[in-house]
Amino acid sequence: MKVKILSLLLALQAILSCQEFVEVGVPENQLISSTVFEDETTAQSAIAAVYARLANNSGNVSSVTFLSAFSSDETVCTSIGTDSDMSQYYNNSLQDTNARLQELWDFNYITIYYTNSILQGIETSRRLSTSLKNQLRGEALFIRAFCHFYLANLFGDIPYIKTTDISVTAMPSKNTRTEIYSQMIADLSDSKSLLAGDLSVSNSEKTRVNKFVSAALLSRVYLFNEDWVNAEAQSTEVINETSLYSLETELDNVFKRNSSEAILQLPPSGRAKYTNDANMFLNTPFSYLSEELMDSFDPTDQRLTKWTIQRNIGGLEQYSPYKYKDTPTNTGTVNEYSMVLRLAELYLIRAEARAHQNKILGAGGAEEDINPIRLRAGLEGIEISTVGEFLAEIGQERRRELFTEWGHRWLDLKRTKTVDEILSAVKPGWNETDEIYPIPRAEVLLNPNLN
Amino acid sequence: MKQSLLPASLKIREWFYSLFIRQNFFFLKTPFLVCIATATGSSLFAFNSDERNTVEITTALSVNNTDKPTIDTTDKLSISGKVTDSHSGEPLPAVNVIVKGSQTGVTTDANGVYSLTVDNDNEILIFSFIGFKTYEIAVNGRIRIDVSLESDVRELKEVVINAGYYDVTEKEKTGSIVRISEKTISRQPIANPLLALQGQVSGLYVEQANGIPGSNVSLQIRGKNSLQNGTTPLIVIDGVPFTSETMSDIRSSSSFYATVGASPLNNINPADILSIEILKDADATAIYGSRGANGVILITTKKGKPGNTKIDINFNSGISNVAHYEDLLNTQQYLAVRRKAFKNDELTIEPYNFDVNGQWDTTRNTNWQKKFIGGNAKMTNLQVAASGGTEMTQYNVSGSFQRQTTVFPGENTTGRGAIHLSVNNRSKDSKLNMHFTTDYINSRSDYVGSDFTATAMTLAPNAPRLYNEDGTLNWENSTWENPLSALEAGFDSRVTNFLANGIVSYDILNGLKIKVSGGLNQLQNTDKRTLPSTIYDPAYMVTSAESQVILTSSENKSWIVEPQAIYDRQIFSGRDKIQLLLGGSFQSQDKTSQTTTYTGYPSNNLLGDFNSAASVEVSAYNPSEYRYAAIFGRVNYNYKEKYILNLTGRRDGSSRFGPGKQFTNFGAAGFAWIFSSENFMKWNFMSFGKIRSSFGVTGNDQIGDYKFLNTYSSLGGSAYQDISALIPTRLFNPDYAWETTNKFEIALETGFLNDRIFLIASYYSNRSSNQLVDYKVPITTGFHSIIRNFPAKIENSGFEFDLNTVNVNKKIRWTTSFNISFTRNKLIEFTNLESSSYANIYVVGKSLSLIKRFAYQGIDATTGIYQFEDKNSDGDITAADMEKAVEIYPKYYGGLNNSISYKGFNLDIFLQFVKKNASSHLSSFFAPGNPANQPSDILGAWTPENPTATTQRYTVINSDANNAYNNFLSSDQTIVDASFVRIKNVSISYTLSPKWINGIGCRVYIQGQNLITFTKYKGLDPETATSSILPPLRTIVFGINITL
Repeated sequence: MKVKILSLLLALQAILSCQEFVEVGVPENQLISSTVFEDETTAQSAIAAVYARLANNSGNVSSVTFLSAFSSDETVCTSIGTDSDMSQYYNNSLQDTNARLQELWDFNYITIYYTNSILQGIETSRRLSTSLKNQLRGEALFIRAFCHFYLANLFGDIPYIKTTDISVTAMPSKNTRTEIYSQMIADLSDSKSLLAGDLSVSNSEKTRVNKFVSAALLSRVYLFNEDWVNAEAQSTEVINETSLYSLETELDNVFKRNSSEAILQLPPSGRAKYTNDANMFLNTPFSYLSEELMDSFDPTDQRLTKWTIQRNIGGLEQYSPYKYKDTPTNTGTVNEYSMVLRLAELYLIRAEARAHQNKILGAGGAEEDINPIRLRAGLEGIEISTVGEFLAEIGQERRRELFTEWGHRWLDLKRTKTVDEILSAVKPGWNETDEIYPIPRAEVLLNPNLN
Repeated sequence: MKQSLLPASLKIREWFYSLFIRQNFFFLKTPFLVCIATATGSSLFAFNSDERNTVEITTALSVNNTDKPTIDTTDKLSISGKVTDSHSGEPLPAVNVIVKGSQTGVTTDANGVYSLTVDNDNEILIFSFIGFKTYEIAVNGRIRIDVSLESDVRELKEVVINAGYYDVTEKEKTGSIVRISEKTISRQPIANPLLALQGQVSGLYVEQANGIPGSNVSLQIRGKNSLQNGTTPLIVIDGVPFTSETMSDIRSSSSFYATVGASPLNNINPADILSIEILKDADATAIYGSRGANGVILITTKKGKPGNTKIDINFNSGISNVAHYEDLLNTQQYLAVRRKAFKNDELTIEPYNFDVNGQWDTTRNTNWQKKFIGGNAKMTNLQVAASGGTEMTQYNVSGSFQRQTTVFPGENTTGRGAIHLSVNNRSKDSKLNMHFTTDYINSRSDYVGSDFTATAMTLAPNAPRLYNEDGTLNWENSTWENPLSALEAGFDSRVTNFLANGIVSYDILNGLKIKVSGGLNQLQNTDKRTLPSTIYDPAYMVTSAESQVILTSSENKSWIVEPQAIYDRQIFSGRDKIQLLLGGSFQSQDKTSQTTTYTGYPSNNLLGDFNSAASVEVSAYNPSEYRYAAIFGRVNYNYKEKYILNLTGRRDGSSRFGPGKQFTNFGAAGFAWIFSSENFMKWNFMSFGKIRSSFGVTGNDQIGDYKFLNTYSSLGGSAYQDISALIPTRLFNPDYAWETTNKFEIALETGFLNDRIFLIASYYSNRSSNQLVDYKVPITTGFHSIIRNFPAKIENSGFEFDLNTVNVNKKIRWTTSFNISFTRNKLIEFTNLESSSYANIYVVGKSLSLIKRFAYQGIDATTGIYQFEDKNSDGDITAADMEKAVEIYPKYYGGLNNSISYKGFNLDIFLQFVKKNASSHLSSFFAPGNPANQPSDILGAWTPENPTATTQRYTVINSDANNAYNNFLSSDQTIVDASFVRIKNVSISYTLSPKWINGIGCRVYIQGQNLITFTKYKGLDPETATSSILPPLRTIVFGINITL
């Protein structure tokens, strides 16, 4: 009998303790979201993760830099190796099931989600200081605009995502180009007003977004939107900040860590001592610089000798980008950061914006902006007075100066509506519709509004 | 203590033998015994004989001079006899003979002869032997007891089935439970016990992910109740739930496993398994509550049996290879296709088109399939087991070793050692029963990091040779990535699996028993992947500074305690039986895994030394905790062995749900009517008839841990400028709740002609609602999915038939078993489907495995390019035009086994069949004309002169043609019939007559797996339905089994 009662008691005890038994704590590798933005250190960690993502992606195999260089007339795909998805970029026969296409799309929207998550966290935070809130908001808004900028320029009309609310983000419709651009301008303007104009947050490096970084992207966005006045105004603001930014005189130093020309650059990911860019272009057999690009340089152009290098790829002597020189063999200190925004581009933006406003010669003229770039490359300054010719020259200069950096060439060809004319001449598989990357099929199937 | 023979003639001996033994004239024992006693001078003889009828005096007893030979009860009585197989008449060695209720027990020798001593003549002897019906006989003063045992194969009804928390006989079961015995498992040369179930069980669909030993196996019981994940049945080994999730990490795993992972069930030794029970319907699974929705698989390991120590040694060895190769282009054909493609695209051959521009020898022709997947994988198994014990304590202990290699080039081996120990004990009064089992399995494999199958298929046939004359890798002037560079990488996976469980039960009162079972499982997995710089072309001058070692260590610790009270008694003077069960379950599972990347070494020779790495990065760390508690109960009422009612229920709580949603109830009712026991149903030809039905609710919590929490976690290993990085962990959903599946089943079980024909026909219908799934969402939400309850109702229904027949039961015994399952799956309801992410994927009223594809419309007569229906008429073929619904789910599947035995010979032939559709083998290839090899059926492509071709024009880079080809692979045209009939298993064995080798039992056998496949499918294999992964291999092993 005693046993019976005891076992009954045990059973009862067991049942009562069930509730407690099935409650487990938060796992030791996770933090409850609401607490993340009540603490300065963890809030900083949230934005650091976004930068870490950007740094990891910049120049890697599924980056804009690497893939869009194939799409334009910058690099040739060798088809060596097992990655057949790359040759679709090169042949302009990009299919909506391409894995590298999906990665490109995913990368940007995931990053956008992280920025929205930070913006939302700050909104409800009670303990963070206003100055930190402003800084984080400014950075998050910049990165959100930055990702949308590439999505819009690669994929055409896309949804602009401003919230983490799944009821909105699960089935968003596409925004028009106008909507996207005005939202980008709004985000960047906000960002610019929230951020400080110094390098205090990043220990005097150029690895975090500040006021001028926002201004720099803003000027590019205005340029792409053909708002020449504002493009000029924003670029001027950056160019005038000479205490922080000035053109490097040595071509070899442009892509160095903390180069005076850098506006935003990203350190190598993790513990690597080299950039992804160098790894992809110098350390893999996938690509080399096209004949067309090589032919666009004047033989005396210093960029030809300083920024390209001959190497053997599949038994062929070909040229590769040599802007970044440190490959994985570098085990010493980190010498180079992956460039996102640099002053040379700002000069070229202003040159173009001014040219469009018919300001070419003399003080405050476009000439003043393009020639420092040419002179640095060991070329002579140009003297062209007609707008059309001048713009054509700027196009060529952008091609030579900004090659294999963040898809500049691809975006420029599309922006200036010369893509069809130029690529149909050199790409046998070119079609007019190849200008826009298809939205990945998997996404369209999940959200028919993307069709 | 054999003595000399009687000095009588053979005739007399035969007479004695036939009189006493053959003719069963035991009722005459008294006068005859007296008679013999007189003749031999107060001695009694017992007889023993083998086939030659030699009679031996085994024991002599004194006889009193009375008319009845009473045995001195103070002395012990010696009994001897011979045990034979009733069907063949052959003597049966190693039969356990025990005295009921005592510790006395012996086994028969090679001639089937036993002798033992009993305390008095009222004892009862129990004869038991695997595969035969246990036989009890009272001694009744006899000294000679010969027994012929009946084989119990046909006695389906009497088989005791493990239903998890209780046992039930086949006859009285109310639920749908299938038992697969040791016999079925042991005749198949497989390393993963789940593979032994393929085709054997109606309603269970088992698919092998690929032919690489150790890879994952997918299981589905009665269809997909859930949409994408969580369809795996609960697997319980000796009462302890076992993980069915792979522990592989994509970063460190051999890429063999990258997509499917290694199966944890590899760490269970099939030779240690006694039976596997598959629980299908509500009646059987509701007692497992939340985890019963997908069915339950119970694995029971071997236990000891009373009797003399028996040693069993089993050794086998054999080879596996790819059974069917694909017909690919040779160099001449390949180059013709390529050149035509360049011509079609008006493209000039560039310096980097190595295969066609002459850089690669255009006269070379290599059959890459032979080079990469054409090897013979070797397999060796050794198992030594000992078992035995007394009536009160029995044990079973075994050790085994297995070694397997692959068909790929290079050294790839996996070895597994296993130890199994099982001990049973009961107290003298039989009230206290204890049972303990432990298993320890250690395995190690060093497969390299690649499945070479895709390379074998697509590498140009004129690609360069793999090795230079000096034995180094040939990089052919850096024009290719030598596929064998993958062999430079190293992989080392070590798994230890420790399983222990114990059950203690005590009979407190008449019929009331308390029982506590507990168990623990510790599974440890260490995967080390070594990527030395030598995997790269030396032209890129990669040094050991880039060499990497990636290490993943994971550990899965779980324990379970289940106290139970069982009340079991007969009422109304034995007319009815009632069984009550009340129990609780407490389970805990702690998992941790850590992936660490070591980069940069001074030399590739130091990759074994973590300390030499220049940088160490923890790439992932994942701890998780899972707690689970339940109370469950069962009421079983058996009225006159005719009507049986079985009620089960469970209240479950799981830590995988948010506060307030942790608990829920499940339950089922089962009913059986054994109508053959009714008087009005006594027909001669029908020996058994039962109708059973059940309905109930089960659930599913296979969603992973912590999914309801809104958290941030570390971005593996990365920091930015010395600030550690935190990212949102998931799209959280605090509101998801239990998913439930309502199951209904009705079945008819009938036996005819003394059960020589036994047929089970069942119909089931399972409806799942509130589906808990990883709901797919577009990445604009930041993630690919969110855990939520699916607003859909899904129905899985089907018919299952199991037929077992004994066709011939003479000297030759021939039995057949056949099973077939027809399955249907339907989406009944989906709230707001149109506006959900699944709008393009599912159709209400149609199957879930229906996939939407482009509607193929042939080849355009002018462009030579595939055409598809422009469903939305927008002038473009986009994802929106994928509206043609195609079904890929297996329509029916099953198996047919024929088993023939004659004397010592046994032959088993098992056929597996599946009726299904799958992606065409073309899906494993690129558009014809691209720089990759092709199957030969793409020859004869479209040209203006050949407008009726089935392959579009060849292309290299043409976007339209490449896009069309891509769409072609996503069209209805490339969903093809992948049905097959496979000679899954052939097993031939011969048991040598024991007298030939001095009483040692010896059986030799040949077993073949996946021998021949009949199919229309053109790829490597219809089961995996692809040509880019290694198909299930054909295996042939030879073995010998010695019993001492």
